[in-house]
Amino acid sequence: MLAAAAVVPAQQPVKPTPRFYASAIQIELTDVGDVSIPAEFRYAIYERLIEQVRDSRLFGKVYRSGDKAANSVPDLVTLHTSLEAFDEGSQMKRELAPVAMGSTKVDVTALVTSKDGKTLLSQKVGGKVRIWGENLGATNDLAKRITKLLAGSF
Amino acid sequence: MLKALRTTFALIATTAAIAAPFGSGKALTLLMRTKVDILTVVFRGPDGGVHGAIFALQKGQAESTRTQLVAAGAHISAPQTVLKDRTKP
Repeated sequence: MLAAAAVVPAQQPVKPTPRFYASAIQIELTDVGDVSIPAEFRYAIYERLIEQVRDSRLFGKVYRSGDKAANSVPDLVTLHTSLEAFDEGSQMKRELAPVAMGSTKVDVTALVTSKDGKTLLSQKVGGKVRIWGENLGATNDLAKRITKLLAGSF
Repeated sequence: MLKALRTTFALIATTAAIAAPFGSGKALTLLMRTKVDILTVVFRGPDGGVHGAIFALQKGQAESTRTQLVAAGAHISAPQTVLKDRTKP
């Protein structure tokens, strides 16, 4: 019994993910940079993000980009997303040859900053539609993943 | 109402496509595909917040709708040539 206990390796203490608190978040429009993306995808990412983050109830208030009321919140954090890669894919191709071709993919870097400009969180996140669904569904998948990422830190 | 009808029709069509024998569902979905025009409208709310609205219009309606919006004072950010054929959003 003692010998068996001796061979069990000591468990490494798991480093906890740092958690932050903020009563409000402001969501900025996706910075597309040099990546070519149709306007509807850019604004769908933005609108889906607002919808998902609001539904998650992680923050007391979710402000849109440019909302003047956000300036008065002392512990405001801001979510920036910058587009890394985009492949529109094709719903028709997906339905003809699922998984093999036609996937819609959108990759962004999600960055959360505090009011003093300090980076609290920075991670690459991707959204995709592989088989069923419309191309814009990738933006919903992306918004869900970013919200999950926020839920792990706030 | 129109959106609800479209959703119901899409659900029936998808179910029919899945249930169709010998893989004919794939051909069925291709035949049932409807072309739409996508029009993206961006505006600021009274508090200054940016809003984006994406409209799926019947084929050929986006250009006339955009012309009406421009006549009412809207600004265009993309040239006409950017409008292209799309299937459902």
